[in-house]
Amino acid sequence: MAEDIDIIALWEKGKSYDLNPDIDVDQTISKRSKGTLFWIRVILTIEFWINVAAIPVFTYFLLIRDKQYIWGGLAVIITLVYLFYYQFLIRQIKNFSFEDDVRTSLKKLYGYLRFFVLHYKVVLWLSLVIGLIRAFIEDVPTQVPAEKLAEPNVWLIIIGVSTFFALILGLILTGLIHLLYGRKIKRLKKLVKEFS
Amino acid sequence: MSDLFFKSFVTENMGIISHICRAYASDNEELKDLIQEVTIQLWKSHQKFQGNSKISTWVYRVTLNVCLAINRKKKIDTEPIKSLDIEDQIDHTEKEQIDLLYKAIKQLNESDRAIIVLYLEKKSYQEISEILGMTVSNVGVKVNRLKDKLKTMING
Repeated sequence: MAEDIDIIALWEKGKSYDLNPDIDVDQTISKRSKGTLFWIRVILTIEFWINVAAIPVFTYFLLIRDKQYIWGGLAVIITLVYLFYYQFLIRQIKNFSFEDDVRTSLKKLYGYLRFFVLHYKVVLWLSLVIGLIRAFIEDVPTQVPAEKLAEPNVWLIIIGVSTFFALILGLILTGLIHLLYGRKIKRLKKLVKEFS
Repeated sequence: MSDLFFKSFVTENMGIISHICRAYASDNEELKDLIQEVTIQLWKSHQKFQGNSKISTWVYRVTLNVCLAINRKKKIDTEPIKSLDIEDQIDHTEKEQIDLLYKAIKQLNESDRAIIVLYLEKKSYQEISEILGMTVSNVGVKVNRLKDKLKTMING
């Protein structure tokens, strides 16, 4: 027990030995948070405004100019859905509280990050699939001569090669997402487990 | 909690916040960043503070949450961050022991560091469990194990 007191006493002694940084509370509270969630909020806000800008672009180019009502309509609907989704995520992050117990907070943070990464993966693979389908339906028949397309196995080769490159691109981008957030997610998962 | 009370309370408790952040910071620059982030998060949540828990529990929760949530790229330097001005005023053996204690704490993993720091802050097992979200029995087991580990590390 005496040794316990020694550790606590040493810790207390250490307080006078510390060099406390000069922090002005008034000045500090006027600053913006630089935490992980802050940067996710920044990214989501950028994406939100990109979506806002995308609606008139899709409306003009696809619906009005090219009269592609299916693709244009689909693009506008997806963009609108994402607009509300981004708003929801931004609000959730804005209201995130660090006052819960450590395990609950870390678990919530882990959940947010996993969801954030999942959202990117869904957007990424969905975009690739829609892009490929659109290319097969709209671009290939207009850009490849009809006699070439009539040759045996040409469609199979086109689909095979495009899918292969789309897959490679998808995997590279998934890898990049993991590079950015994978380590943090793993660390949070480990911490939650340790506090359980 | 009024804004005025918050400001005086945080100023008064800056020493505690700083001391905990020190266990997670690798240098003075990072220590300052952590303290600033803790202050911002305390400010953000002070109006929502209902008084359901002790005010100190709230401060420890926010401080540890921020320290654990911030992703540090740098490897933690186990050397303590020290004040050279005060160094001469401290007994040499004692100084060595304090250095060893800091070094040992920084060698622990992040969750163990949170437990032992709260123990050293003289928090009861009940309070530690409320701050960290662990069961009281689990806190007890871990504190005992960590105390022994720290003693072994300090005694060499």
